[in-house]
Amino acid sequence: MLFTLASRNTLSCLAIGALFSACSGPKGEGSVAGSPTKESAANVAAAKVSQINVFVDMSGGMRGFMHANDPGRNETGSEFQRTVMDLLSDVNRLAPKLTAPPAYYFFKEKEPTNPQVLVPSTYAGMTGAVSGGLKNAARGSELPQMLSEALTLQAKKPGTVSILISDFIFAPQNVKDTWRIKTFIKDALNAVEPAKLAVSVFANTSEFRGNFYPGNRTGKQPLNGEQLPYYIWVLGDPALVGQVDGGLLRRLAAQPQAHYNVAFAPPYAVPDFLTDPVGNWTVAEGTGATAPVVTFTKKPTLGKPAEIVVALDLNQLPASIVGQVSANTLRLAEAGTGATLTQVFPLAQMPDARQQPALKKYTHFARLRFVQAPAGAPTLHLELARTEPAWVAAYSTASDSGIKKQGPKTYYLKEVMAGVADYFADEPSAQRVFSLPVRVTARD
Amino acid sequence: MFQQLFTSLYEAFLGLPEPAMLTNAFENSIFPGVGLATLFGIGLLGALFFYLVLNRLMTTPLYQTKHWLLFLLLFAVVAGGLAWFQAREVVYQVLSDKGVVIPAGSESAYSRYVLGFAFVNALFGAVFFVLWSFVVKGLSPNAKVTPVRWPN
Repeated sequence: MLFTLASRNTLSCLAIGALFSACSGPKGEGSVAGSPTKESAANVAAAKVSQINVFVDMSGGMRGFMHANDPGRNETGSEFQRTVMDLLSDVNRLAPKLTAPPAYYFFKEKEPTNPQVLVPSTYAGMTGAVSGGLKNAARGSELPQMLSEALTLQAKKPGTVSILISDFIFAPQNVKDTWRIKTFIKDALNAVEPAKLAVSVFANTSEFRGNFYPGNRTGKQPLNGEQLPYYIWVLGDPALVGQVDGGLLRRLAAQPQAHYNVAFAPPYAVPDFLTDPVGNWTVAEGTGATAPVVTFTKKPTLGKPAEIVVALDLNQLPASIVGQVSANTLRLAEAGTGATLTQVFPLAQMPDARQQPALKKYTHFARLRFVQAPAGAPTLHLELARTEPAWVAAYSTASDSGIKKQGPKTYYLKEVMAGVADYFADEPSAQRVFSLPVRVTARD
Repeated sequence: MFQQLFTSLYEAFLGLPEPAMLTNAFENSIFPGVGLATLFGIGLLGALFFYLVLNRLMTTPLYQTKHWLLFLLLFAVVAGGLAWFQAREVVYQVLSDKGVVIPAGSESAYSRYVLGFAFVNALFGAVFFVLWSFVVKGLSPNAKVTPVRWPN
């Protein structure tokens, strides 16, 4: 009978474990860190998009993007038309998953005779206008008004994400007010608390056929297929905008983009199966709600430091952000542990990945060095600082009266984006792209 | 309580688990599981088998100290085998759950640690059997003085 115990070792665990429940088994807390994909998925899944509002600018300046195509002449639609049609179709397809059906609005400026700013539309109405051209285009549109209208509407239903599609040429009534563009934008956003708002901006260019109305209010210029920028803005709760960016708008992933206060939650882990671990430590993997816990089994010292490696899966993050990840941009909130970030390297430079296929789902690795034991169980944060994307300056111009020669530029885009950045300036979470907690503790 | 008790008992002999990636598997699962199985399943049940089954319920001639020593040896081997198989099974389970392998440089450290664990547990099996023997030997009319007369 005792031989059975020895050969069927699970039995011994069952028989005695039932009495004392000390046999936690490999799937309980006995398991070592790994399978980190669940963590952030759980975080983000907590909030859910309940409604999507789509706004399309119907000012005359948008007409050039929405040209009626002639299949006989082999016209396949402008970049704008193809992108926006796909986007509208994706939004429409999401309808059954939302608590309220998506709402579609055209946006125009206030007129003396008609103070209406939003013109409600339908999926059919909007796709018709985008593919076949705008009928009765408005004279213009005001960017701050558009933002505040979208925010007012989305405040009525929590869980709403607004998608704004426009050329975002903001031409103040008075050309002398251009230096105030920043403030106009900031004031428009101020209707909402910065902590509860995130803004994503996706830029693209498209063929433009028709009259271009410069932002500095000089004469209109006829264009015939020249590239002009247009933008898709996403406004909403930080977690929801992150979901929409990674899901609904994943087609736009390769475009230039800027993100403000978007709660990105890339999967990460502290792998404990490295070939040459430095120091003695173990890891209890994190769950959605808890951070991974690193326990030093021998206290690190100056002479015998310990190094842990944080593995990051940045596949879901915009390429422009991933490109910035380096030892200079990542930073460590060390929480009094004296830990330092010593190295950041991509998967290609991870020698262990050849042996350990489990490492291949990560894209970047950050090495942290400890030279002293942490007091208590502090939580470190590995953070990526937000930087102003370089494309914004390249897309911006102070005078667009000669747009044909200038190429695709947007009137004072830099000031518009500076207004958004200013609005988030005092919001700590908006200063970083992500912040990944790791708890550390030491055994006596 | 048993988790900490057995972890400190085993680590006093073996040091921290190697490679370090298996620390949680050893400390949370293997040490307490094998420790309890050895203490009760081998030590206590083994002593009850020798004193009550062989030398009370049945009246076998296996009551002498040399027989007791034979059983001591047998239970030590069983305890070593239990440790060896259980440790390897849990370790492979953990590794396959995580989809990782033991790094090439750590394989020998791993083999050494598991082998050491098997030997330490053989020792524990023998010690537990001895301890339980003194607890239960009074219940056996035939083997009351095996292996020694003390404390009766």
